[in-house]
Amino acid sequence: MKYVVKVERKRNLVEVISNLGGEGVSKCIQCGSCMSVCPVTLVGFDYPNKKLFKFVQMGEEDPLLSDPSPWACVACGRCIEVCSQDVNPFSVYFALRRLQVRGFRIHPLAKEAVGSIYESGHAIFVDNSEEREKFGLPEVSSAAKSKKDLNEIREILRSSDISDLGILPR
Amino acid sequence: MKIGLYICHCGRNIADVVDIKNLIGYFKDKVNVVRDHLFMCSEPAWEMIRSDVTNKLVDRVVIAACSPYNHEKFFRSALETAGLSKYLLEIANIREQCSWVHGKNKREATEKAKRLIEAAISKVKTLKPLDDLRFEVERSVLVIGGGIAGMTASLDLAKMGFKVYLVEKEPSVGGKLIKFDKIFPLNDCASCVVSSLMAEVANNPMIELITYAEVEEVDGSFGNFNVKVRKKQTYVDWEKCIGCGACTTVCPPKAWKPNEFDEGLSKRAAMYIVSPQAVPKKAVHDPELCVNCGKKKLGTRRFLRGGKEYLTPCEKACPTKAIDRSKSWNPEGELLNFNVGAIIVATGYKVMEKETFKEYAPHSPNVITALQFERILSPTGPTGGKVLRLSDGKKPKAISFISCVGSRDVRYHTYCSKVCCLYMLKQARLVKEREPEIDVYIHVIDVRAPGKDLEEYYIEARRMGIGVIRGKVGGIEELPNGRLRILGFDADLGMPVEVEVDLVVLATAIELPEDSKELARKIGVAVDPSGFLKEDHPKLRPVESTLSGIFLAGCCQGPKDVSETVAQAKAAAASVASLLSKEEIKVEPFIAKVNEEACSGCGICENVCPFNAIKVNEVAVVDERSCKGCGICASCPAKAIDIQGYSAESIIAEIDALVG
Repeated sequence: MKYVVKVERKRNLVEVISNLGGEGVSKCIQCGSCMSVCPVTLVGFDYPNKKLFKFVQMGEEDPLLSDPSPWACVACGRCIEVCSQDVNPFSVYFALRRLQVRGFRIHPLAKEAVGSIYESGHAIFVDNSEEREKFGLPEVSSAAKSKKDLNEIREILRSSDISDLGILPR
Repeated sequence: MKIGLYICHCGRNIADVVDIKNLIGYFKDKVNVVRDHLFMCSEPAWEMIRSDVTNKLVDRVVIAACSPYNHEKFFRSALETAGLSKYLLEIANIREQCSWVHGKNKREATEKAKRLIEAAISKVKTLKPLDDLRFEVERSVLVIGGGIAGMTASLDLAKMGFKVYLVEKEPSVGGKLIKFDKIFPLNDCASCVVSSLMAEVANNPMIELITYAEVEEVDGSFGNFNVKVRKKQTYVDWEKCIGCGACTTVCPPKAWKPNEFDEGLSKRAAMYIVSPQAVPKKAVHDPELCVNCGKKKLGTRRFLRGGKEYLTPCEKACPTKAIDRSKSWNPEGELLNFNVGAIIVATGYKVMEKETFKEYAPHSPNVITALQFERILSPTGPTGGKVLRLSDGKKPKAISFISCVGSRDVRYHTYCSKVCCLYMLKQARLVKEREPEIDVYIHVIDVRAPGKDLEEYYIEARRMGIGVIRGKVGGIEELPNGRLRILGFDADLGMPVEVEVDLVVLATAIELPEDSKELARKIGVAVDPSGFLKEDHPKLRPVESTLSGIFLAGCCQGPKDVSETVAQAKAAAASVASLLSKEEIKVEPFIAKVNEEACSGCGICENVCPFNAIKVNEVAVVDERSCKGCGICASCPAKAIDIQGYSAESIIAEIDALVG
């Protein structure tokens, strides 16, 4: 597999990503420290964070639109801690999610996550209230348990651009 | 005779391998004093040796430590300050020749150390007290090369009051730097850095500037070198030439050739002035290029045509009659002869030609070297500083820079040329500043930007949108439309990458020019395995050559950027000054000594001496200044010649101990 830099046909992706909240991408020097701690890398995605940033720098749009790894980000924030160039890789990753959504390229993972937020108020929700009760631990409040909060979240989702994508449960 | 043996542990360098206790026990009864020390090169150890000598416990000293190359002079000073001849000292090298090379076999290393020490003891017993030779010093300096290094060194020495002969082989000083546009990391203009120096060396009364000249011969030694310099024939009377350039414009295109100053990107005529900033700004005639358009060969007698003296176009153009084709110019030029106390070699570098690299489409006019691109960026270059490709005069849409072309490559040069990463970044940044819409890519094995402000310079280049692609380029394909396809590798992504560009700039390796190697051979300076001139010690004597009295500055010693070159030039000037500012110089007395009674006057020594240092006049007589102590003459059939400090007796004693 190879990639071909097309000098004529490209838009300035650094600018695009910066406008989507990933201003740090031009500062990335490809040192790899974010990759060394990133759970997305550890579970074996082909082009996790800094590799996608390189495509941004080289003006290669196709892999950015099709790669699922931004949706696997668990927002742990380790990359922000270790970055020596103040890139804030997390923000760039989220800018890449926005790029994909704006290109109507929505990964099944994204659909699942948005659906889960709509249903439970969480991208990933584990109901452990039974276990907590067994150990005598107090109940934890959650949007999933508050009809009012959940309605509010659903209203936000319905009134945002996401509703145009047709992925919210009816 | 009382011999003292001093054994060094060199921290753990020696002691980890050689059994020092065993050595002490072994030599206890063989010499008068045995002592050891963790660091014999430390002040307390020096004091220990000195007090043993002062207290008359020893009068011959053997030191078992590192190579004499490192600290022999230091140990000699202990003897000297104690009032003993400093040459009654011998060093057994039990580090480089023992512990470092036999680390895996401690027992045998210890046995070898014993032998080496025994040889040194046997030799020291045969030594006789010697005094340094003292010579008067010529308070002048020859600087070879008029680039930034040579000019800086010349000016520093001139300011300290030394007469300087600055010899430059081109018609103008300025070197490579005057060809550049801007220099990293400040992106200040190269011309501004170097022009004032060019004017200063031309106008300083202590500097005799000899351009268009080459060093032909160097005789003698430190303190008094005799130098012969060939001033090449310019065929223009420089006394009269005012540098107006009128003659250069009338020379017909048939007499043009690729212009060296523009790295072949433009043409120059047979009558030419090197550059607009040339110093001295004088015209030169190139007889090999001249097509004799005026039908008047050099040396033709004056003649009349139509009642007036006939003049060729160049003669006619010259307003000061500096060009005279009727004169019989000597093609050999002029031989200058003078004496100097020291020499600084600052002959600079060259870059490899692109033709060597067949995989990078060298036949394409759109593949150029970085030095050529430097001329394109320069306001005095063929495009006046506009970013254009010369094959069609069009602005390129994309440019790729390719690094490590001939550097870090066992097929050419194993070393890193050191400055390429940064000058590529500089050139890329200059392109982006002038034409932001041009896409710029840099292909590197890795970016090397160590030092003040340089990493920052690189980071800024990335932020400017210059594509840095980690991975060496495997090939370049020329496409039918003249564009170039770079077959690269992107290590960041772990996959091949192809980029199509309009112009490719190759960062070809920096190397020592062939004529500098020739000069090195002529004056006896060593060239190291990298192909550059060898410094005497990389850390302790970095500006001294292997020959005393000859110093090195700039890229002839190895690749360097401008800051390092200037620092080295200043260091060389200061080192020269510290030696030449004394009334006399002291030289080690290890030269040939003739036993006049044994000499038969056969003359073999005179014939074999490579330095013309021995003459037979009834008996052989050694010229102390010229003798280098090489020992060839000591093969005398009558055994009438010995090298002081290395007599036949000493060497035989040494060998007996080693093999006995």
